[in-house]
Amino acid sequence: MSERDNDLILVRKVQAGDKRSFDLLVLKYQHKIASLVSRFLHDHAEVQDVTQEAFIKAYRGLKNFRGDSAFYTWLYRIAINTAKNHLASMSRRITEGTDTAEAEQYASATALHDIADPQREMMTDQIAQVINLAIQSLPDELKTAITLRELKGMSYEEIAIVMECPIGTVRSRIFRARESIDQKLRPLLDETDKEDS
Amino acid sequence: MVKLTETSNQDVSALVDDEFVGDSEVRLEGIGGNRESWETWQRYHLVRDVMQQDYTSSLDTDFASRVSRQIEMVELSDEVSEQNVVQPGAYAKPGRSRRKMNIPMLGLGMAASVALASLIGFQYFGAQDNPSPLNSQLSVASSGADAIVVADAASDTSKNGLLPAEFMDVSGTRWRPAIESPRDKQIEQRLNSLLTNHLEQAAMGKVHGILSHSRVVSYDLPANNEGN
Repeated sequence: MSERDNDLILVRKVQAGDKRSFDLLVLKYQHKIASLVSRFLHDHAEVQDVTQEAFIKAYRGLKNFRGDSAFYTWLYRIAINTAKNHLASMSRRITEGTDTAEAEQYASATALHDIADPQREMMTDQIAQVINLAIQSLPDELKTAITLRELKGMSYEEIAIVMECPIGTVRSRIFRARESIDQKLRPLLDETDKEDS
Repeated sequence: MVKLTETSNQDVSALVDDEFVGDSEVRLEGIGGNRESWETWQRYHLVRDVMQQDYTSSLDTDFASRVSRQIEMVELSDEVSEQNVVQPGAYAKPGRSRRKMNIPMLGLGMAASVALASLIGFQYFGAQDNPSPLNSQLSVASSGADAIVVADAASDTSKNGLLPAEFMDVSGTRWRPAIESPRDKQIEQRLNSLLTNHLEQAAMGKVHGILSHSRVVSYDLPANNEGN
């Protein structure tokens, strides 16, 4: 089952009226879309608003989505168009010829303006730090398995070949890596939720 | 119970990687319907976003919930708009013309009837006896009304019971009775009443756009008698 197939399953469920499946898609792609939008916009609040708008447009347009392209490709296109329209409405110039591939290749050197709440910035940095430290502290076989999966995008079968172990072992190692990271991440997120409420 | 959670989280981990062995559809539905699994799905994707350097501080931690709430508001707003459109005798707002195409046609029919009511007040036969530049407008204004006997100049009622009047203004949009009489005032009052009722009904039905038709049939004092 490929990523495209699972996304299509969720899309079909949304088309059948299951809004919770759309939540799962949002959770999966929210940061990717926000990261893409931030190539065009340099204000945190605008990035969030435009990202939200892109997802709303995607939800409303899902009834017409036939699956000819991958869901994320379709979503990315919506996000780019939404960001461009936002810029146009703000009367700013956009570099012609910007498309999905170019946007993804943009260097991340352009920093977002720190108009966002400093506390939120700090929390974001903390979350990223906790995750990276947790990965560094993983046992080698777990670190290798999750790195090959997340950074190289290899399938379990390919990882099994590289690590010379059964696919089931790969599945187990990746899961244990995630659980180990999660144990350090969860208290921080719970603390963040308490502060927000 | 711990084992069940672990098995459940292992399934979530496999689904995050699209490597689940089994019925993905059923399992995905289970994640959507279980708060714990939903949050695990969220955290596993967060780890991925950090590792792939897609993680951004621009989004609130409850961004997905925000989107969900916004979608509900949008859907509610759409429902309310649809209910306002579907009313007996109401007309579609501009931009919603795809629905109820016959409603704008009804509006046109009503406007046409009001226009006709004002047009058939002309003194058609008087125009023939008294040719003038003004009367050239009659040929325009009375087009289509040839079959209707407007009035007999010698009498104050027409064969179809309508009151006499004469088209006065060169602009083609205004008229005034040639000779003011109590019956002329009666016409004026009736037309006023008709227009007012039409406008009121249109407003009650939250009609937009049809008012332009009613303005076409409104009447004013001739320009040479007005101070404005």
